[in-house]
Amino acid sequence: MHLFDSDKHSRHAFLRRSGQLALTGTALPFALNLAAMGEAAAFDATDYKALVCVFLYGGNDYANTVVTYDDPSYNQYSAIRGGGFGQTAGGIALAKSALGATLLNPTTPLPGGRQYALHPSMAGMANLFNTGRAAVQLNVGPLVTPMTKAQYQSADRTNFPLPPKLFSHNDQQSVWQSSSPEGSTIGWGENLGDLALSGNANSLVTCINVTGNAVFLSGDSALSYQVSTNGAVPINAVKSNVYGSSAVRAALAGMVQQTRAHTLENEYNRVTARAIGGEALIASSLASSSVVPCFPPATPWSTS
Amino acid sequence: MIQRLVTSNPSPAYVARVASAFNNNGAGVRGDIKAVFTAILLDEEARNPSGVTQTGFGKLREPIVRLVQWGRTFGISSARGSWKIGDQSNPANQIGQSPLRSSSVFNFFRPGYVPPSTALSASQSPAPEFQFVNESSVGGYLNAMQNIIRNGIFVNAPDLPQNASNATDGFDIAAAYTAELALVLDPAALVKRLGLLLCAGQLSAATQTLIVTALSTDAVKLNRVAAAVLLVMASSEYLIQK
Repeated sequence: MHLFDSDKHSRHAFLRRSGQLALTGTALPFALNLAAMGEAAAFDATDYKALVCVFLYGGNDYANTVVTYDDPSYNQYSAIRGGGFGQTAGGIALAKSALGATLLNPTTPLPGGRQYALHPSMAGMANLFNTGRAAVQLNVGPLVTPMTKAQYQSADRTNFPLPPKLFSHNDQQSVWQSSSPEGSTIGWGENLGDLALSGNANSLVTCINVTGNAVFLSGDSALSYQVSTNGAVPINAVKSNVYGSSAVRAALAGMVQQTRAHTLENEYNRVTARAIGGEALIASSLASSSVVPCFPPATPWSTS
Repeated sequence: MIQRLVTSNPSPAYVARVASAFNNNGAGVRGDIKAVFTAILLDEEARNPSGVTQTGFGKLREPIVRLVQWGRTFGISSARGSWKIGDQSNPANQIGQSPLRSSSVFNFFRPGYVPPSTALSASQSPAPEFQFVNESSVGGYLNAMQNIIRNGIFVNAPDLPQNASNATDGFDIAAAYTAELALVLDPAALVKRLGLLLCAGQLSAATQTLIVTALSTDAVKLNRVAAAVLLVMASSEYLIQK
């Protein structure tokens, strides 16, 4: 995958090239993969766009998500994972016959006849891929440089540098999101957000986060605005009378947004002030939105 | 340990003094936790009155510490004696923290967390408890406490040990506010008492006046006490422990 031709840095070019599964077998430096994410955001297009990132804090079984399908690769996968005789299910391997419906058909076949399928439960995603609307990024990770097991085990850290604080999972989550271990305050998402900031009528909602304070959306200019999975949280004591008293409501609303001399007090109140302002904005925007959510109903968790 | 008990951003010298108490309790013993706590709590940096006025000193009280402080201060009891306080982890409509329910094996807060896009990130000052502070959680805390302070903690089937729902569902765990109700006709004394018990006497005169003025309109006694407690527990002077 080459990202150096700026004419081709469009969302469609990105998806098209990724649709070729072009990263297969080629471990690119982390930063170059991130450049691909910037390309996906395609700031040169003028229509409304949003980049939605899902970060799995837990472990994902990658090999059962994007599964090797061509016979030599599948047989290798099956042997490693204790699959059954004749390409049947066994151990932690899926049966090859279960993967036919979710086979990925890239526009340009992969070299060496390599084929991939998605997990059988991901039929919708496979359909998106096969209609050119989804892409798979393989071999993405925070390694400083591609390396073999022997290189990893060698003592030569000058030629074979390792990511900082390897095997500390909270630090690695931070490295994924910001290229620095814990304590980092600038993430990739916010860097994209900074670039998009001028294009937004309200800069507060350039970077929106729905689970906690991830460093991915943190940084210099664009604030990470947090909403719950049910939308922005209205503060009852600010919106309506407290225990029937309007004086208490007014006192509380003023107090929780006060500018304070103490740094920690002031930062806490800044977040509260932003929550009050943002909630009004989000609530009115959602009320006037005609978009009907098209997510399928939740299906029971499956470990296979 | 210093971050949990005293201040988010201790000086290197303070850390060194506590570390040396860990290495040697004075009698040649390493790892004497009593000596470590003594060193933390009796350190000059912890006890110097200037800590109260320094703009960077102190730490955000954890949500669960605020709830426990409310309970211990105002004499809560469980009507049916079952004390079934459920999961409080949802930051959008609860306090956002429950004992033994941290999302990571490293407990709730990372010691190196620096809140981004703040004055703290400019100076690279860690504030671990701010990991839970965002536009959802600040409202979730206020909404939850508004209900809990006035009505108590809602419990499903407080008459049964297991998770169930029946006719006894209700606010089983509630505060008595005995001493506070006695002061209800004197809002200034009430707020002074709350400032002493909840904020170690550090609630500023300006904030006390603000709260006293707001209280003077409410005729229902319990409402007035509840409003006083809510206003103190909503103030940043309470939230940041110095």
